[in-house]
Amino acid sequence: MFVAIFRYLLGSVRFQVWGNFPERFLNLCAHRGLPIWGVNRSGGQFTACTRASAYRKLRPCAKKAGVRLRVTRRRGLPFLLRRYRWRWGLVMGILCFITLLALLGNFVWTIEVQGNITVDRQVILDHLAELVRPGSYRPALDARDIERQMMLRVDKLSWIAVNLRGSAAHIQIKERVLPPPIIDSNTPANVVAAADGQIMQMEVYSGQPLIKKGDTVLKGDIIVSGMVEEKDGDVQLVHARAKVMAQVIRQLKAEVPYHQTRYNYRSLVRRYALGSFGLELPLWVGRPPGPPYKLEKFARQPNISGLGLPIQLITRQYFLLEKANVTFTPAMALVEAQRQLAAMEKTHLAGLEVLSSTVTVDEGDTALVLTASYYVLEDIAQTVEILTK
Amino acid sequence: MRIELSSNREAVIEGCKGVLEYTPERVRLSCGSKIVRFMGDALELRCVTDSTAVVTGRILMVEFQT
Repeated sequence: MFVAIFRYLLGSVRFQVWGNFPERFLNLCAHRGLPIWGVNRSGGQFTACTRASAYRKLRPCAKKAGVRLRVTRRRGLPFLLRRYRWRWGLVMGILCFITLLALLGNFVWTIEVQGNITVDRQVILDHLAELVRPGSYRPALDARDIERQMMLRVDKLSWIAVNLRGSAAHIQIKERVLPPPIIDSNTPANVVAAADGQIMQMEVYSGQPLIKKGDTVLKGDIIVSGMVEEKDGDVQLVHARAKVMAQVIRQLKAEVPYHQTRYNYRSLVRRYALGSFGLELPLWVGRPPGPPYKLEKFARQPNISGLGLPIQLITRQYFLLEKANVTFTPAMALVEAQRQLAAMEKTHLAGLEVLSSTVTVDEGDTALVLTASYYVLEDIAQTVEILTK
Repeated sequence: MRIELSSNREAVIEGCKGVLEYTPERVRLSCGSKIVRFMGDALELRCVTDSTAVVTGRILMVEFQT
């Protein structure tokens, strides 16, 4: 294999030998150190191969041995280059290719992030963007400095390694397990009501309770005081802490107009583009669709053997809409309002225990209003610092 | 002189002084005081230098002559 490559690079010539003493010709060539291989005899003729540069040196040997030579095949890189020697475009293309390859090899093309579990990859990339991003000049980057900067910028990192290998930046991270928040027990503070309500249950951990179970409070009332009076009359300032479960009224309102303007889905149009180093090359001709539409954009990065390529296929989905006027009957508006109210309950009353609820329907001239009042049990304790200075 | 045979497909002859006769059925090589004759089918001189020759093909017989 190696010999074949070597012969291809140097070029080889297959030639015919005929005459009186072909064996003598072979001996003469061998004694003069001229390489001969692949000697084959068919009929009265020999065929053999030699190096392209050695063929001219065979002539004296042939003359001495009384044989004649004729080239039957030329093969190898020198002949190929000779054939294309006037094709300057090809030469320039090869030179440009080599130059570009050498030049582009100095830039970071892709960034791979590994080891993140809770920290979003995009968050890391956003912080990295000011230090290293696709298109950064690699010799100007200091991996250790990037690591230090990232440790300062992202709290949740316990360790980071930046490996610049070729055109790829491999970022390996370990996330930090955050300690629980420290309860400040030194600053004097009161526990006040965060909302109006009736206290149903109270657990005082520190401080002087001013209100007992069953009392009603207004927002801002002190429930547990941080000023504790000692038996000898002295007042000690403490950080009051308590859990105060109170029955609180919450109201939610859903309003559905009888005449509404809605946008109905009409059709879907996709537009593709190629993105690289922050630039986009549209893969379509013409204008984007006219409004109204809902636009969704997402990018996909192709990869080879897990290594992302520095290009992105960007897809824009235009959900084309058409404007329509919709008229609701009171019954239809009620159903719609109930649906909206159920959705609001899931977001506004999540995690709260609902004790009771009342719903009132108000059919107005232009809209139906559904008002719901809930008695919920929630912790209304709010710590407020006592200003002593 | 040193002859190295790989089965009956290839013979490497070191100390070869020259080719005396070459046909597809017969190759005679001069090796100093001896002459080596290879008989076979489709014999080929794969490489010839001033001290070495490589004979390939289907070698049926190797004969030494003094």
